Amino acid sequence: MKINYKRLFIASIFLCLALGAVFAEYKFPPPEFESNYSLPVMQRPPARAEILAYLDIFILLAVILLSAWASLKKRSRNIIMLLSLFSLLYFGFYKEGCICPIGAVQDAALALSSPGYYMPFTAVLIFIIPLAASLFAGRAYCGGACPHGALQDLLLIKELKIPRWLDRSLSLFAYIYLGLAVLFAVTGSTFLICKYDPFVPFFRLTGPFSMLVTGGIFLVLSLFIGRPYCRFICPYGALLKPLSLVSRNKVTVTPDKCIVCRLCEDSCPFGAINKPEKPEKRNIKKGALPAILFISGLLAGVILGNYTGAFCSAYNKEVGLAVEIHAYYEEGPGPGGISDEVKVYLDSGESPELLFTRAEALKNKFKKGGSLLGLWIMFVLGLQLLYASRKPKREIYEPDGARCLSCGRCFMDCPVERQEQLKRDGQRNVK
Amino acid sequence: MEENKTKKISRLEFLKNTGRGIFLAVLGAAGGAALARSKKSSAVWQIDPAKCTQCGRCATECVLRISAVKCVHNFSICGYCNLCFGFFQAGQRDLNSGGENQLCPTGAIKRKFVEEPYYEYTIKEKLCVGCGKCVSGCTAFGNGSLQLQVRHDRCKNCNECLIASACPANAFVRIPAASPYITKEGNENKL
Amino acid sequence: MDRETLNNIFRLALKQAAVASAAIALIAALFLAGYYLTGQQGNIKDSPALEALKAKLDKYPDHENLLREFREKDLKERAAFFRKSVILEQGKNIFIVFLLLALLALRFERALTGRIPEVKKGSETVYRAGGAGINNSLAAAAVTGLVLLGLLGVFAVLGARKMGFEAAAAGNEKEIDLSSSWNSFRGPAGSGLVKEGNYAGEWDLKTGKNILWKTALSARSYSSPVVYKDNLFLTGSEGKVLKVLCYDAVKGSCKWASSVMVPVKLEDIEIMSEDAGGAGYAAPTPVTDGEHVFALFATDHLVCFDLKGKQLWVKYFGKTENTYGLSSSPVLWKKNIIVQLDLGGEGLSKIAALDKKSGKTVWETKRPDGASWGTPIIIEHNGKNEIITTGPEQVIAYDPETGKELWRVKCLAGEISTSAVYGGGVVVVIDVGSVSTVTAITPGGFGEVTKTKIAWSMQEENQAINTPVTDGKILVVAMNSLITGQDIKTGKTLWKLALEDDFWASPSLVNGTVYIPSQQGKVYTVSYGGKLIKTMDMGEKCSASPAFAGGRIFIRSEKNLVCIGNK
Repeated sequence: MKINYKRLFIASIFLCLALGAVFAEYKFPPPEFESNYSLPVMQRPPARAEILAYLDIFILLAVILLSAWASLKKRSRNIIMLLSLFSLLYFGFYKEGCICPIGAVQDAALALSSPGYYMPFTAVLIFIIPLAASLFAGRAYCGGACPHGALQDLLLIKELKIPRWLDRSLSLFAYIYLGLAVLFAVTGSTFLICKYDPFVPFFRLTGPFSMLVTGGIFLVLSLFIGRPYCRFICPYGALLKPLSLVSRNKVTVTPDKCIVCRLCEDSCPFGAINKPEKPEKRNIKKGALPAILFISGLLAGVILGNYTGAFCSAYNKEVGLAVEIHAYYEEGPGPGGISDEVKVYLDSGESPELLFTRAEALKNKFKKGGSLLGLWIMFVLGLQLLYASRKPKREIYEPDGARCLSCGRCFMDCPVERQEQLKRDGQRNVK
Repeated sequence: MEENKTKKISRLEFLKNTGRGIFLAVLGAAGGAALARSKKSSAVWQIDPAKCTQCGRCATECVLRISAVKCVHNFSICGYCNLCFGFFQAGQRDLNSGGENQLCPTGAIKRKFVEEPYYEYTIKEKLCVGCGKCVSGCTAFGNGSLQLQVRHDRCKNCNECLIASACPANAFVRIPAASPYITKEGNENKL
Repeated sequence: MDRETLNNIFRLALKQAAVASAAIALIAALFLAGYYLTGQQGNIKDSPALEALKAKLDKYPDHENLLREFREKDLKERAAFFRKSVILEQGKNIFIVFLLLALLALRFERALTGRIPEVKKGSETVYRAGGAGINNSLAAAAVTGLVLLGLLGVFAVLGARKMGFEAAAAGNEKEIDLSSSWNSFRGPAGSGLVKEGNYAGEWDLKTGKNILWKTALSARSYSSPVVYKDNLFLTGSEGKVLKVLCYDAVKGSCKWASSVMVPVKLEDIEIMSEDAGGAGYAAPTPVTDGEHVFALFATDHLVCFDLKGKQLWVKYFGKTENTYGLSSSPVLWKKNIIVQLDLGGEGLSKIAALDKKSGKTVWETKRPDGASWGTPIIIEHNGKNEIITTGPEQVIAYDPETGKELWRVKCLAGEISTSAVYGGGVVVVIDVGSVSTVTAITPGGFGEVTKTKIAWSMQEENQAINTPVTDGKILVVAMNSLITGQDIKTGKTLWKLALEDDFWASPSLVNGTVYIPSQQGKVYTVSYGGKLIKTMDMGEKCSASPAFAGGRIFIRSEKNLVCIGNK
């Protein structure tokens, strides 16, 4: 290889000049040692290798596919349990939580609303894959691949049945939480879901005290209530519910014909199996009242949400700083002196009007987002009412399309399934 | 009756298929937009030393009991001072490594004589709690060769870094995992 | 062994494992709680024992034993801190691991029970009881809805409160009409021209005729007053303290007098005072946008106050080198403040635009070396805005948006203290010397346009150090002991009026009458045709140009501020 020495020489001169210019800035010029002292190198432990992020995606995909196979084809609770144990160990205790599809909701919302946000390619995939899978195989992610779900599922020892009406009402919270998390994420305020995640501190065996306490509460709850986080809180579940409702393939209790024995309903700790129903004669009251109520509910949601958004904006860092700075200029420093934030801002020398303008813009964004949030909450509530007043005709027990978590418990308790299993065992023994 | 039933089922099927189509389209659009904006490399948290004010919250806000943020020494811009403002506390009795002279609350800085009049300062990372006292001294009066940096062998890379959300100077940034450190004279890994 | 026995053995083992793990977890939890609460608390930096010892050590620095004791204690505390930290960490791990183990063992033990599910007695009714269940769900959903609405309402009430900063945000500014005010040096356009309003044609300080109020000034300077609504602003200096003052334009009382806080030691900056023949610290006239007042000082500080007298920001342009001291006034352009800093030192001269909210530089353009004292004006000629500056040797025009130089004309000589005026389609400038050259330039063009753009020029053997005034037809030039009227189109002299007096202040043209204060403490009024109408005695030197606003004339003399109006 031919080296252009002349160019190299010129380049090295420039490099020396540049370095000289850099050194000239220091108060204490770095010494030129006479002894043969060699400059130690600054240690830089590398970040987690890139290839591992792709491995994670591969494993996630594989586990979801396996879980779908186990819940739809193989119909084996044991395989699903093993898968979830693996997920708990790998995604939970080995990978220690981040980034998971639940938290990625916020990254996706922020990346879609503000183009400058750093969202890695792998995080987008982690967000999308379980959602896409739920359109074809139901909530296979929840059943076998989610470490949060696995932890709760494995802890369930003595379940208490929650009445259906309470279960349905509480599960509304997940939608509200989703709306709130998106609002806080797109305004660049905070990632609520990550901040209040109850299980990550256990995966890491460390965390702030408050996080450990909420985590502990959820762990204790999961001993008696089937997957409380998944059913009532999980914002990703709120996304998965409508998608799995229209899923191409669905979990069914019986392999063949339902004998209406009710055993599966008892076996499901999540209240996700619907009873057979004989609808009464429909006596739908014709009238505009429900529509008027619905529309006025939406309107109330928009208006109240607007102000609720303004309330939420106080939890944004920038808005909080604007309030502090304004108070500082109006009343001077408080009794506790000035905060680090105020000090840093004053040192920056920026005109406070600029900060106030930014804060005002953020507050307006919050108000707009709050209106949408109010609309969203009322809309979901309306759907819930509609759903509750529906009178379907159903002759067999079947899992609820949205609520079934693909855990496979009902397979084990179904007498028809047992018979089939015995038959298969018998065949194997004969062979 | 039979005919009626199949009709009803097929209507339900149709609704489901339409719903699935719509959801797929929405998911595809959102995912495509997010993918188009996504970065190829993974991201890690790091402190921009130019913005850091050494407020001390790195030591207290991290999810780890002993923070993932530690003081690191960028030897290439160190002045090897005898009177190091990162090592000695104000009003020190003597320029030696006696506990009464040291600024570091955990004694994590090792001072070693090199040659007249230069001394080498090394951080014992096991002992460092990331309080930033030495960084503050070095930045205010010295060359600023002591810097606070997230150590990626310790960092859990939370989706939302708790120190970042508590940082008064917004000094925490997300940078590509391939060059995960920011030193004062620029990111050397970029060279 | 058959399957059932094996199962039973497993179950027993798991049960015992669960109990054992739970016991270990419990012991670990109790130990952790106890350990956490005893011994050293919190971080190592707040050890009171060590602090006390250190204080003692500072008191007796030569005490060897004390020093040894301190070092031992210090070492012990550090070791204790890390030991505690390690034990807490490990203890926590043990607690969590064994808790999980216990729960998992219990879980699998139950899974191995191998019970065959049975239909419970009394639950044979498999069909959901139609109406009742639905009504339950409906009622629950409705109640949930009400609860949610209530919650939203509570947060909405909380959120409806103002946070305080909203009114102060920059986006909320309204267009402020400055046309009826006298907000900058020589009025809104820097022209000295007043076209409407009823202003007194004569007054008498001795009898008090047409004198609305008079107030004594403690701060000195050559700068002129500016007026916005009821507020009159002045700059001045008391010794080396720089001041911005606000008076009530109606009553004459002082509203506030704020000292400027600057980030450098003013003691180190030497400015030639008024008594020594210089321009002093505060010769530039302030400018107001109706919300803030901006004042430039000879020390190279531009400072911004709000109308209540609170300093918002200050910009320091660096070392000043100006023979007599800076006197060019800042001018307002849209959201920016434009300052011309012509300094004596090499490479120091510049013109800059600063954001009026933040004081940050929007643009900055170098100017030729050499000091000058004129104020830039901003004109609109053929629909295009230009900043016209006077300075050493030349007139330079800039684009007010970008600061780019547009054109220059070399037609000036001497130490330029005059500003340009615009009227009748031409820019008129005067140079300073024993012979005054008056030059009219047609604006527009690019680069040096000396040869092509001069419309006319004339000379008079007399010195003018102030700025002329024009209404677009006549140009009035106030030279020492001579006032002339020129045709602005041709430069032809229309009339001359000899007056034995010196003029530092610039003339104003008020509804066709020329008002001009003098160094002998007089104010002359001259008619449009060049006849002297009245001479009013102010009792002391008048170096500042008067302000005309709302039917009141404000004249700053050496130590007083006088407000004149028809009573």
